[in-house]
Amino acid sequence: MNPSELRSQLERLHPSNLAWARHCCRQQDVEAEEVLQEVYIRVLEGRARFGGRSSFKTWLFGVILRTARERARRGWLRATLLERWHQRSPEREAVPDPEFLVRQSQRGERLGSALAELPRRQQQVLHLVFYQDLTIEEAARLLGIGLGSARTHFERGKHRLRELLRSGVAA
Amino acid sequence: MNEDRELRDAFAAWRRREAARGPDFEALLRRTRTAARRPAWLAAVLACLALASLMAVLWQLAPERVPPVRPVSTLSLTDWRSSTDFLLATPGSELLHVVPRIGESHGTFTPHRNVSEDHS
Repeated sequence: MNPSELRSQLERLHPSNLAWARHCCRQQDVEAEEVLQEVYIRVLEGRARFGGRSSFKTWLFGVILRTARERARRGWLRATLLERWHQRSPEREAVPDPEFLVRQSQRGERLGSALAELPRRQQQVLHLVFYQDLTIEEAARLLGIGLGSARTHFERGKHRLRELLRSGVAA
Repeated sequence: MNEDRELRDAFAAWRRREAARGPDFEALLRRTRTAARRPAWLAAVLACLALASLMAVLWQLAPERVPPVRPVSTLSLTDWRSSTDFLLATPGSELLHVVPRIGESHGTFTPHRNVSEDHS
């Protein structure tokens, strides 16, 4: 794939990339944009190369996921070191951006809030299948899990999401 | 299946709303280029400064250097000399260390003459 073709593919997928990056960064917009910047640099400079073993979108989403994880790890390490420096206990569990939760409730977007209530893996599978229109197989490959496991996460996630939406917990 | 359809529709509506949010591709790339143009040497200079200040602090904190103490030399038994050794060096003692040879003289013997005898 030549550079101009690569660029046009990235541009075409940009809204989906941004949404996936946001999802990977627990809806933290600034972090998501930085992740996406890093991914675009990697791809355009040839540091991440598409091998053609899957669709370009699946491959790109994999790069975004890995980059977000790396950044989260670095951030966690930095936070831990700083916490140790201040002799406070580290906060290991990342929580969704409070601004996001406020924004969600303000907009009345129950779906986003309800999704945030689910276990991480279920959120990822549902996002990839329903939001990004990937198949369960593609989602499984992207997340590096088995197909059976992905199906289980998908079914359980759907069930729980419906329950949350019906009960209005996230409203 | 209908329930799946409901969820799909809900996600699609969310996606449409989200699409308007955030920077577009060109804006993000421009930002990326600006970030990439950030001088690398600045980071290197800052790193050097940090290293230099760290070394200065460590130098200040280090204990004062004390000249190394020389170990007390212990003489071996063969090197040892008694402090009264010089008393053994008597006149003519060198005769004890060499083998005399015929025809060689180790010194001239001048008998001490009594002056009073000469006058008599």
